[in-house]
Amino acid sequence: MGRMRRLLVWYYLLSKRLMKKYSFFLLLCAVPILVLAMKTVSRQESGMLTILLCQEDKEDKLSSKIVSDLVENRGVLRYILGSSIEEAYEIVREGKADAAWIFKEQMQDRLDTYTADNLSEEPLISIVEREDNVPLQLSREKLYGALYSYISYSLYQNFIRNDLMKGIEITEEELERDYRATDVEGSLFRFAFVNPTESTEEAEELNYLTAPLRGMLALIVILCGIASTMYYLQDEEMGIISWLPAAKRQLFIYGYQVTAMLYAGTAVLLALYFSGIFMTWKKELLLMGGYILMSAGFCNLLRRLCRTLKRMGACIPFLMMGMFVLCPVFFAIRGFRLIQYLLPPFYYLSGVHNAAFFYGMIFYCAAAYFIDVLLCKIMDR
Amino acid sequence: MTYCHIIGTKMIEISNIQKKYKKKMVLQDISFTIQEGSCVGILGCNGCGKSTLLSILAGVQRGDEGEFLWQGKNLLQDTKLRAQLVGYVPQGSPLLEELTAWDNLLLWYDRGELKKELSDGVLSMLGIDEFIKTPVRKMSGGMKKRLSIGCSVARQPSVLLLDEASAALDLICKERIYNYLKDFKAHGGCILLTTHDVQELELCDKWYILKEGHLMPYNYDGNVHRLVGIL
Amino acid sequence: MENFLIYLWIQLKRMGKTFPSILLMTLLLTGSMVLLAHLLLETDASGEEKQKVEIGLVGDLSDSYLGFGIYAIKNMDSSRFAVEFQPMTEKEAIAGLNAGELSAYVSIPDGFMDSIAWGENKQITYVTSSGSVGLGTIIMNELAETISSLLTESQNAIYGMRKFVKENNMQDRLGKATDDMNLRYINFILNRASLYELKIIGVSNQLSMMGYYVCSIILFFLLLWGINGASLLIRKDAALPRLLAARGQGAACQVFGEYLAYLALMLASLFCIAVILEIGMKMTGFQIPEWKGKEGAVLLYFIIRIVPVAAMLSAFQLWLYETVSGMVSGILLQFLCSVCLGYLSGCFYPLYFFPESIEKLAGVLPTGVALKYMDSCLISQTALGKLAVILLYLTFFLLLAVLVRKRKIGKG
Repeated sequence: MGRMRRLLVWYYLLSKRLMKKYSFFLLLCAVPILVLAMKTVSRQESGMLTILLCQEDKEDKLSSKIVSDLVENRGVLRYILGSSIEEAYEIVREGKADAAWIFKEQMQDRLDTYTADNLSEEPLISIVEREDNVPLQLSREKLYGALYSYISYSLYQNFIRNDLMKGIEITEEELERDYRATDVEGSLFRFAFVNPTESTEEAEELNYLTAPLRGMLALIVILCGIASTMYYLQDEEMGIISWLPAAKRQLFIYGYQVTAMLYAGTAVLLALYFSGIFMTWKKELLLMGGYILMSAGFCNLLRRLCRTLKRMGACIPFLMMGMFVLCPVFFAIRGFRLIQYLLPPFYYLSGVHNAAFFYGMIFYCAAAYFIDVLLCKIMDR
Repeated sequence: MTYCHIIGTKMIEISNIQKKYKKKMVLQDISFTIQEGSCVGILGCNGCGKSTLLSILAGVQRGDEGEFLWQGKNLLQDTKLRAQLVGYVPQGSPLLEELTAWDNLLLWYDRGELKKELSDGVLSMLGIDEFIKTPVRKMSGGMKKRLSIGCSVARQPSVLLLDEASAALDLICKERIYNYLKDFKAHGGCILLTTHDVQELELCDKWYILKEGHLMPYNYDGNVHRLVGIL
Repeated sequence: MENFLIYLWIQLKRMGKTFPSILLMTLLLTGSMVLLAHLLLETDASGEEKQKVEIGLVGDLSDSYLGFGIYAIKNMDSSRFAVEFQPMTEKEAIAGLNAGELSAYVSIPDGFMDSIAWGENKQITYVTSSGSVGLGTIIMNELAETISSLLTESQNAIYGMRKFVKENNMQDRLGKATDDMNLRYINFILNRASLYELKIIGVSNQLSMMGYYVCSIILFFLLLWGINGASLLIRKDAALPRLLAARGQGAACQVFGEYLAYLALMLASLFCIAVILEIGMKMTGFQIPEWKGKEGAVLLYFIIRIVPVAAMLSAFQLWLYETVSGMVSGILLQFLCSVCLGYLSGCFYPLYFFPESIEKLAGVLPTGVALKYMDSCLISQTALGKLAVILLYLTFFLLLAVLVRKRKIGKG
């Protein structure tokens, strides 16, 4: 009991000391600030691409309807409205919009000709871009999606009038009635994750600006771990831990790291809870716990490799860059799997929707601690 | 005031301590004894290995060979007993800068024990009660050194290892520390210190010079010039 | 003046001694930046040179219509350059996902085509293993909506036609009409590009996407490089500055001398890396549109043009280090500032991803102005206004550093 009490006193005092370090406190403050900032920003109007919508004839009903449909269901695209073709070209040229979609006049007639003539050479829309790239290609698919209901109806109409019932009078009401009769609705797709857990099987509704939030918070946690390891090295250089016998130092180092990351982890969990991308407490706690232990093992091995504070500090930029790129923070890349397996954030972020990675965490912890003990015996000889 | 856990200890024996750094033999066959209630001073020029010797005896570093015997038990291997018997005050300031004196002491004392020592114990003798709530980063060098000593004697050790305890301290601070050390000795404690200070030399009962890795006994008679010549 | 030059020379010597280790760290940092650049530029590439997204197809694919649809997507649709579909078992798909060989797999339920025929659409499951639901999933969400819309609208048309045929007692023509209509719809979908005319007006005096990425990566590199300065610029106490001040070398002299030496170190590292990258570019034939047709060492020339940016950032880093006394605090502060400023200035996401308020904020941040200046340099535009702002920021940071140093000297 006395020993337990002593441990608690040590833990309390080390935590108090950690909190009084301004740099660590700043790092912790980054968590709520990041979440607040990202949520605020995501609520404002934004888009991965800015598309200028312009109508050659503003009175044209079809093009007005299409423009209205696009603006209502914007998704990841941001739309601005242009008043003339010249303005559209100018805005794209200046880089204020990524592309301009110019809807030609007499859209309905053009559409009917397009569908009747089996792909006529008269296009319906002029698309103006400075350069073509993948995001713009994807945006054109969205445009097609918005137009398709009109194209489909026009095709259907043409087919019945000109192929099936050629020469026979059919009313518009009849055609529309039959077209709308089935009215298949709903999405054809549902999203899921491999090895889903009991808490979620569907992909959450996410904004692209808040999508990397969990990844960035995970990197803050491991940065706290690296920072605490650096504090330890600093203390070692200053002789503060010289009282500690060599045998107890290993435990002390883990204590340092886990303490710092527990604080960071708690802040991250709370941030996730209030940000709306939280799963269940059980899953989040298990994942975060495993992640903290993994990160402690990782930071410890890093300490063994670097040995000095300066070297460890110098490693931070390319380590963190490597994690930004190779772990699924902004996007999940294929390849470099062997290196990904060495990085704790990869397991944490992949384990969110794939339970298999949680077992990987356990294995990683065991391997990291085993290697550390081995290195300890070799280096302290 | 009781300093020694185990009463009746006759002697501490240090035998055949060796330490090699890369190819250089820093400590070679270091052997000596410390009687109960006595103080041994180790002298030597800067970088000769005095701090290394003390840190090996304190268990902070590992020596290549040697024993630190108390009642037949080797304290270099029995870490629990060593933690009970040995108090170590390293060079520099091994304190947590962000915390107050009170918090630093709490790392080593129980709360009740701490209050008692502050009121009329070791800590009050060292004058630590005067700055108990001061954060370490705001303390002077003398305050830090007194606090370090206060932390090291938390478990009422029988042996105190001091590495240049009075370096860069004012006279009042030095006086307080020497009074405490005299008291410690008088109650049967053993002291091993490294020093460059003449006043500290006079505190010692036995002296050794560490030179080129070897320990040589020296009879200090107050003649500093003779001492300098040997060093 | 003589004292200042002596102090500057000493600082240069001091920083010069650390140059080999700093160059090594710079090379490692450059490696990770090159990797980032490669990934960013590859995801943006179009056409055959792009690495395809591999998606597994799981389920009953025996239906002829489904088979035809898959064949059409694989061989005829424009998406064939970007996506590769591979039929496989569910076990293989899961293994492929976990090994990172697949981006996702699509599970088609049994009786899917029958359900389509009856208008009771079963859902196709799109399975991904992405640990963090990222940009890729969000884009897939959008595309799935489009694909759903295509299918459901086509169904409305075909069922409408079938109802019409039945109502008009033309059942004998039902089969052929259904097939004809299906083929017509598939034809229109596959040739959807004919719906619009695409006009590429060229980047001319504007920055290309690749050019933007090059500038933002170089800027982020300069920000992160500053961490190397921690061991050189952080002082635990003010003993030496006080001694120098007592000998007539005030805070301004000291700061300016250290700044020039630090800047020289940064530029030396930068130029070494630029030479290596220039050689690499010539060997691999890597080019961005802004450099097409230009002879000579284009990257080196660009680096020379952005020296004011390096000067401003080194002043910023110097000031940050001046405010801290601990190594760990300094490194963390530098890193946090680099990431925050880099993010807000458009180094991670392009600036146009953000709302207008962030774009305006980026316009006043030193790194935001620096990026705009670099963009102008890349397209060989004069940017005197931005240069003036950069020089103003440089002066401001140096002044701040001097003030902090003065305070340290005068304290205690």
